[in-house]
Amino acid sequence: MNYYETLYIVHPSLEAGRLKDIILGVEESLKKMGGAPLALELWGKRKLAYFIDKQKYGTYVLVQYNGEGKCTGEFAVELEHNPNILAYLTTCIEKENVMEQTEDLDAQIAGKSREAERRESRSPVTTVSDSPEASVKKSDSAEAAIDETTSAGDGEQTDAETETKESDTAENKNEGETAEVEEVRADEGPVEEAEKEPDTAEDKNEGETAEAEEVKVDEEHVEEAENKSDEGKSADDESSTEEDTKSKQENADKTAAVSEEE
Amino acid sequence: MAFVSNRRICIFCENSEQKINYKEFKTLRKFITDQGKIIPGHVTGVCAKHQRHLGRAIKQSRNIALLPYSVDPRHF
Repeated sequence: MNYYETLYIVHPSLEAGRLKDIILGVEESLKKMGGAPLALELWGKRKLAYFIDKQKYGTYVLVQYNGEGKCTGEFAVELEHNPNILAYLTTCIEKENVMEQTEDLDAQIAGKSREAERRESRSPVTTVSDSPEASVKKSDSAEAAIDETTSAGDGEQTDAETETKESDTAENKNEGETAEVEEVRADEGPVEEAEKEPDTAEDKNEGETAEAEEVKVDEEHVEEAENKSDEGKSADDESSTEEDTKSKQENADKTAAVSEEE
Repeated sequence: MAFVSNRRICIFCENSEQKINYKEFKTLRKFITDQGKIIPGHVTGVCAKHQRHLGRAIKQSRNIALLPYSVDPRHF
C-alpha cells in the first residue's frame, strides 16, 4: 500500500452543486479502482499560469488516498476521459504528509463560494455611492482587491489585458492613420480643385482652335521627320551600293592579276 | 586577519523545516526568472541535492499550471 495525492483542475464554469457532483464522481471512480480516499482539500478558483482548453481560471481540488500502484494508472485514465477536468497531477507522498480532514466537502465549497462573493462585493464596479465616507471605504476596498489580484498574479500582466491593450493600440493606430489620410485629403482636395478649375476654364475659353493648331503643328513635325528619315535612308543605301561595287571591282582585279601571274 | 569564506550556504540545508514541494509555488517562484526559466544553483546558492529537488518541483508545478512554462518578455 502506497500513499498518493492527485491535484486536479475542474472547469471554472461549474458552480457549487455541479462541482460537488464532479468531486464525488471522481471519488467514486477512485474507490472503484481500489483506492481509499483519505483527505480532500478544495483550493478554490485560481488563475492558471497558462491557458488550458481556452480557460484562464480553474478550480483546484487535492485528493489524498492510498492504494496499490496500478490504481493510479486506471484513475489517470478516468480523469483523462472526464471532459470537466482540465489537468491533473498524481504524485507519491509519504505517510507523514497525509493531511487531516478537518472540514467537510460541503463546508469547504460553501466557504470558497463565500470568499468569491466577498471578492465580488469588494470589486469597485458594483455600485456608485453618493456619500463621501462610503466612497473612501470603497476606494480602500478597491485597493485591497487590486492588491489581492496582484499578489495572486504576482505582478504578472494578464494575457487578456495585454490583448486588449494591443487591440486598443492597433485601433488607435488605425484611427490615427485614417485621420491623417482624411486630413491630407482634405488639404489636397480644394487645392487640386482650385488648380484644376482655372486650367479647365482656360481650355474652355481657348476652345477647339488651339487644339486644332497643335494637331496641325504636330502633323507638320511628323511629316518633316519622316522626310528626313527617308532621305537619310536613301543616302545611306546609295553609299552602301557604291562601296559594294568598288569592293567587287577590287576583288575582280586581284583575281585577274593572280591568274595572269600563274 | 582571519579567513572569511564567501561561500553561500544552501537555504534548504540551513533551514531543514523548509520543504521543497510543487504545491508551494510561491517559494518556487523565487528560483525562476521573470521569463520562467530555472535559475542555476551557483547563482542562488542552492546545493546540488536541493537544486535537483527544486528542478523536479518546478517542473511538476508547471505541469499543473501553478507556474508558467515561459513568459513572453514583451509582456513585462
